Amino acid sequence: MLPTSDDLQVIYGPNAAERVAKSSVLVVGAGGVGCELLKNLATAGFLRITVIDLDTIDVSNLNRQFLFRRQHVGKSKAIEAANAISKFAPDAQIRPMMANVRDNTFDVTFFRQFTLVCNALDNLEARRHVNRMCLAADVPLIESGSTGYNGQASVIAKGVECYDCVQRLPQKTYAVCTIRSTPDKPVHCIVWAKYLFDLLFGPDDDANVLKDLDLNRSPTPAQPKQNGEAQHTASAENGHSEPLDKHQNGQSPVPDSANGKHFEEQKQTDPRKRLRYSSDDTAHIFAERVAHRVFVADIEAQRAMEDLWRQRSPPILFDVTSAAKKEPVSLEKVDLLSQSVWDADHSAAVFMAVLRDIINHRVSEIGSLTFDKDDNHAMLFVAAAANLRANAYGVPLQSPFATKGIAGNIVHAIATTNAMVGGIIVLEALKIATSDGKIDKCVTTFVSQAPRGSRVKTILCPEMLTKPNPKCFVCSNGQPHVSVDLDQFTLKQFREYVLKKKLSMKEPEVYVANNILYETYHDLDEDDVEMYQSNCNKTLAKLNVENGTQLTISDFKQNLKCTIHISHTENLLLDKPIQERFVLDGNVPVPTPQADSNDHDSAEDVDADEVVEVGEERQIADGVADKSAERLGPGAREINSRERAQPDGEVANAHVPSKDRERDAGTKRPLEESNAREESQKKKARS
Amino acid sequence: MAMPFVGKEQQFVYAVRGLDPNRVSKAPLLPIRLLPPGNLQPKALFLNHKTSTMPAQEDRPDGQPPVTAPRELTGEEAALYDRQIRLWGLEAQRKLASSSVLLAGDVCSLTAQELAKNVLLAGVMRLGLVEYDDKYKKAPRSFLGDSVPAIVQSLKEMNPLVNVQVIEKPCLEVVKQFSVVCAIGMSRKEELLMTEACRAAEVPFLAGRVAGVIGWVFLDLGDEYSYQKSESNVSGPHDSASVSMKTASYCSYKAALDANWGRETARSAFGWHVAYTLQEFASRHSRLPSADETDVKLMTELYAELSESKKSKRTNTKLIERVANTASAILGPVCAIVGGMWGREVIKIVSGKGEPLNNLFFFNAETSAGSVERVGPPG
Repeated sequence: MLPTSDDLQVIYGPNAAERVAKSSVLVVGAGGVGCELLKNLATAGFLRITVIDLDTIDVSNLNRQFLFRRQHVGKSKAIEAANAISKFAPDAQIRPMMANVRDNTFDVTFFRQFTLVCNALDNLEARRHVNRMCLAADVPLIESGSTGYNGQASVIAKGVECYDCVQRLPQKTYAVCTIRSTPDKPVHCIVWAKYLFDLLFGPDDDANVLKDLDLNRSPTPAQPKQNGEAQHTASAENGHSEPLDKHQNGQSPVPDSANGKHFEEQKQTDPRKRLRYSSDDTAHIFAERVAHRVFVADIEAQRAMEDLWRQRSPPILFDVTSAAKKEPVSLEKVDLLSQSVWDADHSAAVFMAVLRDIINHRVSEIGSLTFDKDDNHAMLFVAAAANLRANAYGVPLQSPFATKGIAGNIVHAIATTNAMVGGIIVLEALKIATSDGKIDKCVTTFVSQAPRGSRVKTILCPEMLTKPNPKCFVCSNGQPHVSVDLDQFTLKQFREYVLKKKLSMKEPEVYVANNILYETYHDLDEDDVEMYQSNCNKTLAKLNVENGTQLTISDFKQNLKCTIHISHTENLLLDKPIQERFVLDGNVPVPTPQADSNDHDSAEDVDADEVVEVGEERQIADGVADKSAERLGPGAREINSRERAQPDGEVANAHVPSKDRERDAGTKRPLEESNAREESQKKKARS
Repeated sequence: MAMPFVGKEQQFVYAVRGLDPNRVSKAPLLPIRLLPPGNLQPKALFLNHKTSTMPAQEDRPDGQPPVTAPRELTGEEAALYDRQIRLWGLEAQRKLASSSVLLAGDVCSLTAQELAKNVLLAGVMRLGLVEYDDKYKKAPRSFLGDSVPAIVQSLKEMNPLVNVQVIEKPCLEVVKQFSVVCAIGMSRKEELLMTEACRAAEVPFLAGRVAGVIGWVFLDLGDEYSYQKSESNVSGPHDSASVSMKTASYCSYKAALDANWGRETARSAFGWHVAYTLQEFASRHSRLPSADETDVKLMTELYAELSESKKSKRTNTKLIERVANTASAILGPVCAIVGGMWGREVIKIVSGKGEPLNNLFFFNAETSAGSVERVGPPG
C-alpha cells in the first residue's frame, strides 16, 4: 500500500508526509513496547528507522512481542523485528543493530544523526544513559514504559524535565542480617537462595553475603554489636557443643556439631573444606556437603546466636539428604511453571538432584554461572533452596511459578498496555517530526488501569511537560551531595557504587581541586595508569578527600560534568552491604556508632515507607517506578500520589543482555526489598 | 428439556455473560426476529441463515450459548502466556482459553487488526471474523494484510493456538456462538441489528470506530453483568473462590442512542456527540465526511440539528469541525490506542476479571486524552 501522505496532510498540514518520511528515528529496544512502536512508526509513515536491541527472543515474549514467531526463538530481536516490519512496509528502511546502546560506538555523533529517539527500554541504567546522550546530542527523546495495566510516554529535550531530573526509587535492600540469619518472608529466602547459587557456581565474589559459608567461617551477623555477645554453642539437639571463635576474620570452623547419628552425610563431609565444588569431589559428596553445611551446620550456628531468638523462633534443622531419598525426582519432569507449592521433602529431592546434575553436566561452567531465571538449573536450585530455607524458618513455602516471579523480578507485561504506549509514543513522534523537532505541542501521557477524575473521567491522561529540576546534575548543573565514611570507602568503591551504579555514569573521572584522582584517557602513560590503579585501592580519606570536599566528576562518554559535595559520616549504614554504605542527597542517619544500626531511620527507610502504597516490589526492583520518588536534593521531596501510581518499564523488553538485565532488575543486587511496610514494622518491633 | 449439568466452571461462564445458569436452562429460547424493514437490510447479514463454519456449536441441539468449560492449560500455553498469567492469574487465563470473540464489520481496518492482534495474543480459544462490506477504505500499511484471507493467515501464524475462523455466510444467529461481539466501523443500522441480537442472546456487545484523530468504543454488557473485582496486580494468581463477584448494569446501545444528550461540561470530551454525529452522517451520506468545506458544513449543520433535537445544553462545534476535517484520514497510532483499550475490555469480559468501562471510551489524539463517559439512561 502507498504511504500515508493524504492521511498525514489532513491532520498535520502540508508537507507533513514528507517531513515524517524524511525523519530518521532511533528506536532503543525491540521488546514489548518496541514491537508496537516499530509497527506504529511504520503505519504512520516513518521510513527511516534504526532499532537497537541486544536481546534474543524467548518463548515468554511471544504473548505480546507480536512481530516474533516461534521459529524466531533464540534469534535477535532487532533483526527479526526489522524483517517483520519490512514485510508490510517494504519502502521503509529499517536498520537493525544487535548491540547494547551503552556501547562506545553509540557516541554523541551517532545520536546526532537522528531526528528523534524513542526509548522502549526496561532498565534504569540504559534509560539514564540514552537520556544523557540525547541531551548531549540535542535530539528529542521520547521515553516510555509499561507495567501491567499502567504505562506512560513522555518527551525529553532541553528546557523540559529530563529523565535524571526525577530521582528514581532507590534500590530497596534488606539488612544483611535479615537474609543471612532472620528471614521471615518468602522473598528473603529467595534472595538468599540466589546468593547461594552464585556462591556455589558463580565467580568468586567477596561481596556475596554468604561468603562465610564458603570460606567456612562463622556466620557474620549483621549486627556487629552482638558479635561478641552471642553465645555460640551448638544446638542442644545434638547434645554437643563447642565454643566458636567470633571474630569476623577468624578461621574457626562451623561447629562440628552433627554427631553422626542424625546426619549420615557427616561422614562424607569435611567441615573444613570450602563449600564450593572441587575436582576431587564427586557430585554426590558435593551435594551432601552443601546440604549439610547450609541446612544443618549453618542453622546450628544461627540457633546458637541466642540474641536473635528472643523475639522470634529459631530455625529448625532439616536433614535434606535423608528427606531427598523419600521421593526421588526426575528433573526433566519438574514443571517450573507449576503453581502447586513444593513441600519440604520434594524441595529436598529437587535440591539434591539439581546439585548433582550441575556437577554431572555443567562442571566446566562452574565459576562462571550466575543466577538467570531462564536457566533451568538455576531456577530449580533457587526454587528448592528457597523452600528449604523457608521450611527452616517457618516461612510459607512457594510454588516454582511464584518463586520464579520473585527471583527473576518478572514484570507483568501485556500486549494491550504496550499497544497503547506504542501508540502514544508515535503520536508524540508525529508532533515532533511535523514541527521541525519542536516539542511545544508534546505532552506526557499516562495509561492507567481504571478511569480517574471526578467530573471528567480519563483513563489515558495527558499532562503538560514540566520544567527541569534545577537540582538535576545532568541537565541543570545540580550538585549532588554524597555522605560516606571516607575512612572506609575506597576510590574504586566510590566510582563503582556511587558514580557508576547509583548515578549510572559510564567512565567517570574524578578530580579534587587541581588534583586528578582518576582519569580514563586510553593513551595514558604507564605511570599514570599505575597511579590511578593505586588510587583506586586507597580510601577517599587517604586521597585527601575530607568532609566538605567538592569533587569534580566528568564522564566524556556521556558528555557530563558535575560537582559532588562530600560529607564524612563515620560508620555509615554498617548494616548494609558495602555497595550501599552511602547516602545520596538524603537525610544521613545520625552518626551514633553505639546505637543498633537497624534502628536508624535512614533516608532509604523513609522512602520505603512512602512507596508502600505502590505495592509493587518489581517496580522498585527495576528502579523504574517512574516519577515516584523524591526530587534531587535534601528537603525537596515531592511526592505526587497520582504519578506514584504510574510505574514504568517492562523488564522483558531489554536491549541489554538478559543476564545484565536481570542484574538491573535486582537479581544480583543484594537484598532488594519487596515489602517495605513489613520491613519497617519489623524495625519498629525490634526497637 | 433436561436440566443440563452445570458445573462450577460452567457457572462461571454463565456469570461472565451475565446469565443465571438455572434461569437460562429453563427459559424458552428467544426467537431471533431481527429482519429489518425491507430497505434497511444489510446485504451481508441475511445471505444465509445458517452458519457455515462452526460444527461444534451447530451440533448443540438445545441452542444454548456455546459453553466451553475452562480447562487446564497445557505446558505450552503456560510458557507462552507466563507474563500475563502473572498479571491476571491462572483462572482468568483458563477462561480466556475457553472463550470466543467475534469481530464484525470493517475487519480489514487497522483498528480491527489491532483488536484482533490483542485478543489473539491474550489466548482466546476462537476468534471469528465477519466482513460486512469490502468497500472500506484500505488502511495504509496494514500490518496483518490487506484482505481477510491475508489477515487470517497472519493471525494464525502469530498465535497458532487460537482457532481463527472466517464466517463466510453470516447471520445474526452467529452471535450466540460467541462470548463477546465487537462491531468495528459498522453503519448504525448494522450496529442496531447486531446489538439487538446480542441483547437477545445475552452476549456482551461492543461497538466502535476510529476516524482520523478520534476513536471510540461503546460497551453494552447487558442489564446484569457479573465480574470478578480485579485485585491489585501485585497479588498475581490467586484462588478464585476468595474473590468477590460484583455486578454492573449497562445501558443498551439502542437506549443510549435514543436518549437525550447528557449535561456536558466545558471540560467534557464530547465523545458521544462526536460518535453520534459521525455515525448519523455516515448513515445519511453512506460515507464519512471528507476534508472539504462542503462536508465540514454538512457536519456542523447536522451537529446543530442533533444538538437541538437531543436537547443538548452545551456543544463543541469546534471539535466537530476538526473531526469532519480529519475523519477521512487513518492514523496508525490512534488505531493502536483505541484497539488497545478495546482489546483490554474484551479480555476483561471474557476472562471475567476486572471491571469493564461503563460505557463509552473516547480517545482524541489531539489532546491525547482517553475519557470514559456514561451515556444514555442507567441500564
